[in-house]
Amino acid sequence: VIRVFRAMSTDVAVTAERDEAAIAAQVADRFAAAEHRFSRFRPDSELSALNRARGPMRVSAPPFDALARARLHVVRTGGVFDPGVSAALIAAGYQRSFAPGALDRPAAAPPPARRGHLHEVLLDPASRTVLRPRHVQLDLGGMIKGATVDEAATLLPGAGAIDAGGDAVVRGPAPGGGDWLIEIEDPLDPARTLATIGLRDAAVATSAANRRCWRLGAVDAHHLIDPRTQRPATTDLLQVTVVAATAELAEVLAKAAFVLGTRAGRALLAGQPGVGAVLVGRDRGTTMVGALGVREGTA
Amino acid sequence: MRTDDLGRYVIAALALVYVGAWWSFAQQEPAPLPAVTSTRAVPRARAAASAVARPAARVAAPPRAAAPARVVQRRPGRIRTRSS
Repeated sequence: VIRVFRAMSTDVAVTAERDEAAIAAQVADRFAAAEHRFSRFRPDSELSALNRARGPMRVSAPPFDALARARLHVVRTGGVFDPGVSAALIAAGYQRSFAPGALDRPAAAPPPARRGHLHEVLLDPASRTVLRPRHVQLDLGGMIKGATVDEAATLLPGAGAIDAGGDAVVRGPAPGGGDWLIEIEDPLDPARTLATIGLRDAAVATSAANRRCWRLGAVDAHHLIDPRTQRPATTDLLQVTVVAATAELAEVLAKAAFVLGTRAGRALLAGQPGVGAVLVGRDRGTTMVGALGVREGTA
Repeated sequence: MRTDDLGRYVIAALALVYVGAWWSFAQQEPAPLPAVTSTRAVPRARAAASAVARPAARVAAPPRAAAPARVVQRRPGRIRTRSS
């Protein structure tokens, strides 16, 4: 039995070998709590309060720990993953919850005059205080979705899976034994499966610009901001799927590789121990990184 | 008793009271130094503490999930990954 609820603008599916109703309820509460704390679209969220603060702000442990982990991800990706680019995301038109067509505008707004980066934010672990320069707006969106999937997976009593719209953790064998089968969607034809890989006790995440996208006049825009330009990334990739130990890491690396493009993205991923990936180019060519148990498809 | 003898007794009694009071004061433990010795630092420290915004007063308690999870029929053991 699979139980599904709606959170973070996506369907979250819970598969558990027992107590699935109770487990799904607990997982739903974790997602609701994370969304309440980290959503930049809710004025009463702790992240919104932090983005409004005009001075040092004492925060609870989850956002402080998330910002500390995000700093490590910034270093790991050479700054290509950066949650400090929210002002650029807003300038690109993503200022409210995404819905198809809801963000379309007649023209693009210029990027922020001053670039925002996470490394400009001061973190004091002793007092759990965050000091954010005014021009740095924070958005931990995808990383928090991955982190919440990881946290939810700890609630599984045994084998099972947490799947938040493609950011997933699988534990133990799949129902009936054997590996979980992860179908990678074709970004140009969502009805088609590009490849299927076998997975057990691991996480997977996918980044692409084909869903959270909108029009700014004659220009296409999407939610994956390149911190170097503060604009939606221009890349030769259509989609990146990453397999890693945690959904948070898979999400961060998929986004960074997408922004970097095929060559630099492959180099980044190849340098990460225990990571596998499938990169889909604009020419529909696929690039494999690491050892992945491909069962079907072209990858 | 003559008047000058009475004056001597009064002076002697006052001297005894003074010496006793001094002795009692001298036996007391010295008071600890104040924690903040700079009077300028106190208003600055108070201002800094009040400037640290505290989220508890503005952020409501985390909510429970809005609706219970629904049961769906999918192929078991299969997950479709995509951008979301």
